[in-house]
Amino acid sequence: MKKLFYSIILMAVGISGCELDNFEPPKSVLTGRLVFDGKPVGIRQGISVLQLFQPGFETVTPINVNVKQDGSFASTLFDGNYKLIRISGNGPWEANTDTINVVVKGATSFDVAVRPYFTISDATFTLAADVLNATCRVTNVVTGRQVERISIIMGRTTIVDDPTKLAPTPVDPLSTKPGAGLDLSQPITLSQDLTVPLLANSPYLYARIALKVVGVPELLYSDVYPVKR
Amino acid sequence: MKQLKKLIYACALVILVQAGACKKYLDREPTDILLDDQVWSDPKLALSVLANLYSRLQPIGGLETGKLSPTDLDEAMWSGGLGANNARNTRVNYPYTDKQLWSYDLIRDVNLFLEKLEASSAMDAAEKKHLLAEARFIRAYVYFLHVRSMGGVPLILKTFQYNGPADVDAMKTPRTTEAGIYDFISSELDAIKEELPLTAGSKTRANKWTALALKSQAMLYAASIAKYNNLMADPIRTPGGEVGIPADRAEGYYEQSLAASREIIDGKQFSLYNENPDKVQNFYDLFTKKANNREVIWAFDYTLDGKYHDYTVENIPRSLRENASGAAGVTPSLNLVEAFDYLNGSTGELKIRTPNGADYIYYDRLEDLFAGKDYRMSGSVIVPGSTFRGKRVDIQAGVMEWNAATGQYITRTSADLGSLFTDGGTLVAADGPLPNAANVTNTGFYMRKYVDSRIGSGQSGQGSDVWWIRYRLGGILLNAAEAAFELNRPAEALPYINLVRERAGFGPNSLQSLTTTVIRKEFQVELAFEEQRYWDLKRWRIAHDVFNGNRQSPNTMVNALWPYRVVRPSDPAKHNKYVFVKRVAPRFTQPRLFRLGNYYSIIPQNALNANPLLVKNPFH
Repeated sequence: MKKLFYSIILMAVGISGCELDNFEPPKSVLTGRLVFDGKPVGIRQGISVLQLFQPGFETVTPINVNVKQDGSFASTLFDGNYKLIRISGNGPWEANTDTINVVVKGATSFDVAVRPYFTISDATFTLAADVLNATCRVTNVVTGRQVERISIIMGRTTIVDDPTKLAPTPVDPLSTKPGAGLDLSQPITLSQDLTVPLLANSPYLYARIALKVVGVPELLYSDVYPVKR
Repeated sequence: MKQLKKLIYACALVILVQAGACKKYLDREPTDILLDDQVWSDPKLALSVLANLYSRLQPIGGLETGKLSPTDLDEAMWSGGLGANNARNTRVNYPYTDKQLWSYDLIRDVNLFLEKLEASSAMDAAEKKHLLAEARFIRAYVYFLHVRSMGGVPLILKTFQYNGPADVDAMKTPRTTEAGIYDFISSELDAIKEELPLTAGSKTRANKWTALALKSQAMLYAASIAKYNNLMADPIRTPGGEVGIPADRAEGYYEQSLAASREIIDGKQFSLYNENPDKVQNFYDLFTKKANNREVIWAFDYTLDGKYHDYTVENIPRSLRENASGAAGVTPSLNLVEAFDYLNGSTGELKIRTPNGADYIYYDRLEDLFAGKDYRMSGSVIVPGSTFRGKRVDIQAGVMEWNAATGQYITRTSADLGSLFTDGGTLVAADGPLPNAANVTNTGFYMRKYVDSRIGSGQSGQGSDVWWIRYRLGGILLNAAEAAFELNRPAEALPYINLVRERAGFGPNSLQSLTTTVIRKEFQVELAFEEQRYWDLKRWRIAHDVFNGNRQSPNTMVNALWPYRVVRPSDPAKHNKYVFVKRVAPRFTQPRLFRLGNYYSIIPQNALNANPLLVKNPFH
């Protein structure tokens, strides 16, 4: 009994003794979006495109900023001065190595400008008789870049991207258009037959338009469209 | 009082005596470590330090820790346990730490060896020269491994002594350019090649020919980066040249590589392994037979006296395993099997459907599908119906039962290996494949290259002593062919590549013309599972196209070939015959995605923290 009593006291002392490492957790939230011309840029969720550094400390370990597929990000930080870099070459946009100074004080909002090789705008999806139709406009922003292909990609969750997309067989020839011979002055129309095996049995489907630029591994994406049927 | 005084005197005397003896008492030779003087005055001890350096030369690939590296590619996938290694089949992209190398502890030890040996006067001059050259070869090889993974790294050629914080700044060394490291390798090898033994007496220690083989490989890598990096839409380079080589250096590097390859080929110290008239067995023996093997230039050897590996334990076909667990770890893909051409020169796609695609092609025996393929295929891969260790390896996924009412086949399978169908015939063969089971092939193939046929080598307590070949004449001939072709001398390139193909079983002069595609395919099939393709795809700068993350691309997914037995008694022409189905291997779920940031691995953060002069690699 006595032993138990002492051990409880010892535990209590042990717990309260942690004064030194009881830091306040960071609580200032830095939010923002990747934007071009004021519009968010859609990407594959999880690619490493933004890093924060806080200068003045012994090490230079970067803080990776996770960007969602709609181009938005949020990072919980301590107040202070940060340097934000756009890791060049990882995103489907023009490399820009300029450092951006960001002052975080309480909830901070900050949009990061990027210059994608192409933009996908006015993406609309319509569902007619088990065929998903999509139209969009593609604008070339950086001259000298070519489109490799543009396609409708499908997924079973709200996160849709090229590596995790469903690959229905047979491939619908209208779901992908090669870049060669693509007339960018006209809206681009694509369609996907939803009666093929992999798609017909899925109660939930999400679609997105994805554009591959020649020589750039990451694709550009439109917003995600939930297919309701 | 008098008593006490006596006692004090006595004590003082004892202490005095003890203190006097102290010096001698503490000044003793240690019995558990060797001192510098002892090591560097005895050639045998110096040699054992060198042996330690050699043994540490295998960080990536090989038959031990890196034995799963073929599963990084379209060559193979992991079919072993469902634990951590299964992540190799489901990874979204290669991590930036993949193939990362920052072995400055090893580089320091090599430099220490060189400095100590240089300073030693007790060593015989000729012996000393030989050992010095050997250590310099090791250092050049280590730097090659680094530049291949990381781009230009700090070139440290001496050891540093830490004498307090004031010294630290002088130790900070920036990265050398990528070209600078390759130039260092080239000049080092030129300087030492004549100081090394001139005959290829040892297959495991460096000699002139090993140095030339390294030069042939390193210069070819440098040349390809100089050429193909600059052909990319966005060449990968840093402003300081730590990554990326100027395009005008390409020709010079190709010339150096070709010259080194030619010296090996014309030196006639080596010949292609051709001891067995059975071409399949001959190609397999090339990797497993050590005696009288004149093709091997440099190998990492094993012996059953304590230094063996478990490559066979992990990769042996399921029905032949000798261990209670393991087997079927790395299983070759259909992608690789189809990369092997037919001996008549046609492309290697397997014929499983009738030309109009309406029906299967029915084969009497499993092995008939593979008739006429490049013999190297069966020498590298165990295909359904092959023989290994004198036993037939039957691979059958199930039965296709004909349903006359619907006019279609019904696929019957089972979760049990070696199960029987209601007609008394095999349902699932003893070697699978099964869709989601551990330690049975998922692709329909098993590994043969480097898997030991000696009984007992599949037991984890014993293991295999098959050696790992780093350089062999076959690879050097392909290096020569590529370099000559890139230098626009196809007439010189053709005989080299045709020599390799002739040994494989093709007729003489089987190729009449060359393209980069043909050469690259030859690299892929001749050197499969030899830790070659990953680096080849990298230096040709096509890895991000081959593994582009699109699951509809031909090589992003690991494909499988599943054989079925047909049950259709109404049609004797088809009954009990075999048909084959191509599919994506069920345990392989994520398409391979090689990002531009994977061309150079990430520099460890602790190195960046310690040395602010280091420039990061692109995309990290």
